[in-house]
Amino acid sequence: MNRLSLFLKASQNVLGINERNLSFTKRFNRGKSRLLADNKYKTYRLLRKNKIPVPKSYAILKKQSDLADFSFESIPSTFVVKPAFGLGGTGNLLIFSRSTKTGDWIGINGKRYTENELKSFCQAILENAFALDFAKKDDFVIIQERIKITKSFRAISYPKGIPDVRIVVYKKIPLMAMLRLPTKTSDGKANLHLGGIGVGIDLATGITTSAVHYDEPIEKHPDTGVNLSGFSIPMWKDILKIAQKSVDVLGLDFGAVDVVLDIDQGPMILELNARPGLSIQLANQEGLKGRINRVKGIKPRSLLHARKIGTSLFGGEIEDTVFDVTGMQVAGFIAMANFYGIDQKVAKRIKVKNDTGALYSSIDRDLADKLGFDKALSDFDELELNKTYHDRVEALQHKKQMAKLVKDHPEIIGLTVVKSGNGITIRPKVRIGIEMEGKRIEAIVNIADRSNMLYKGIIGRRTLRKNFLVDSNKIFNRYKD
Amino acid sequence: MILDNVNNLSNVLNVPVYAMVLLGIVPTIATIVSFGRHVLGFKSFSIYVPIITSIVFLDLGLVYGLVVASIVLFTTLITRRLLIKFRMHYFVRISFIYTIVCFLLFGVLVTLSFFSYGELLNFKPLFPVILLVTLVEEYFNSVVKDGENKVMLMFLETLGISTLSYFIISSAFFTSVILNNLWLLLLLFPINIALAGWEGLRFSELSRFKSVILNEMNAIEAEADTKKEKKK
Repeated sequence: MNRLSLFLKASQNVLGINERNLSFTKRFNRGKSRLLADNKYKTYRLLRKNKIPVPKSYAILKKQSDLADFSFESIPSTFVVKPAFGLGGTGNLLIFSRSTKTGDWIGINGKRYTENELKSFCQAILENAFALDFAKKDDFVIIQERIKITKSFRAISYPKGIPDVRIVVYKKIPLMAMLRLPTKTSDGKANLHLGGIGVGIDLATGITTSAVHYDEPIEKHPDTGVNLSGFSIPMWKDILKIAQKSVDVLGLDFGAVDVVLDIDQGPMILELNARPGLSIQLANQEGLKGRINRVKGIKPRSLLHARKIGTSLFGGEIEDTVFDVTGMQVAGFIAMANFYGIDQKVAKRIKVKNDTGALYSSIDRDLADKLGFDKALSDFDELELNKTYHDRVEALQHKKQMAKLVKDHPEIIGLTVVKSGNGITIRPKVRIGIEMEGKRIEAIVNIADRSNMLYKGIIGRRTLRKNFLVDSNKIFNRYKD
Repeated sequence: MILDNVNNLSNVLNVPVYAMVLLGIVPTIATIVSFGRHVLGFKSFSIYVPIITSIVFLDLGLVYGLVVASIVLFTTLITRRLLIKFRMHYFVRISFIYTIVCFLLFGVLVTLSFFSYGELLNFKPLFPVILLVTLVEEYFNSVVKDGENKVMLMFLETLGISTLSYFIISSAFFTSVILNNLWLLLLLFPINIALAGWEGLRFSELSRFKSVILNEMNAIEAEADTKKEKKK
């Protein structure tokens, strides 16, 4: 393919401002829903009605007289002041605590505010200093509780300020997500254009991938020096769930949801946006338009169905990256595997357990028979292979006696004494091929009687090492593979 | 009768040439600004600021226009900073800035005439300068919303798009061809209709999303390769 046409084709997968404004804001989102999303107060009210968690509001100040009557003394000493029609985090004021000496309120970066200064800030909001250009109504002040960030976020984020997760949802299907981390320069705000960091998220697992700061790719947090990729976001499924639900409740067909994680209350909706910013594409290093094209025409039956579509289509990048970097394939605890025995004898689609607690791999006797080891194994049967020993010395002696038999059967490469739940047994070892998650390897496994066991194969550490990484998040899917 | 000359048209319609030219220039600049915004990706303030700035450039000349526009912007930024600590009403704040900007411009005029550049100023009508001064409020609101750094960037891009329209309007092509064939201005309608539905990436976005596009290119190539292998 010609380089220029490839470039043009690739650039069509990226969503630009023109297209977002013309095709994805006005055409998809009805005017009523858009206005609703712009007005934070109405958004919160509707979400609360639908039992979607949102931060508690301490006060709503709509008029000058409300402001005059209001006293900051009457609410807890930590809170957030924000305009109802604010755009992109401007006009938000975070108050962390209150000085016991002077009674001043302390904001991010240690800036102090007196009651009068706080009120003049609210005054500016009432005078539409921060309102969206097209908001027709007069702006008003929302004073709400400050989110207390969860411990796991503290490890990755600048300690002051609140990280949030932004999820873009298209017709109920989650399309793309990013973690937004505040920095010292962003004044504790998570908005990217104010200096926050955007970190791409793998939709299936909730694990972070690549990151951008001021539209430039970075690897480490500039303030904390923590690696930004590979971080697993807690309560990922719940976050996805309430994000989808809130977009649905508002009636938006294309929108972005900002979700915060509170240490006590779990995920909560912070904001909805009918005009999602486009930097999420940089954070994820992928175009939104390409993803939209892939789900175009799909009509999900339910929110669960939509979530499954989103996570299965737009997840799994982590595994590809892991394979690229380490050469190791990611497998779940339970996986489907194909076994290859003597003379190309194949046993396909066997459910196996990747057991990081076991050292050796082991397969069932029946399975070994199918793989062409039946003749050799029948000879071993006469020597009471299934016999269990009470102590190791006895087993080793017996093993020595059987050494001659091993020499007669070249397909048996040795015997091993294994201590398992049933006692100590002697097991023959064979060399077979195993194909799992699309990767084929040669492995030495021992043969045991597993007819009563759920899994006919156990893959132990010796086999997994340098070949597979076991991811506890990876869920077994019998339709896949 | 074919009208190949503005003067002819002016005589026929009994409309002064100056009015016709100005009425032709404004929509042209507006279209250039729209093009700059949606195709090239200039982040100018509103459409009003670059139109005013371009017209002033045409009237004052490029250098003089740039100087006055910069004085207005920087005075606004500095005065806003100085006034930030004081509690006052929004309107008063703005009128304060207007006052300071005008006094400063007055000072500049006095200084220029002191160094006997006064003759030069006599030729320059003061009305376009006043037009530039009225932009104070636009600048002020933008600083409150976007911060000083972004406003500086937007100002530079506004100057860029205004300079572009200055060169287009004052070019030989425009003055000799378009103004002598005013019907050509009707082309602004199809151009605006085409721009109305323009959904492609802006030129500036190509560089912003360069890494994403490169990644997508790799993905498309990889996809094509795997398809080929499967066929084999």
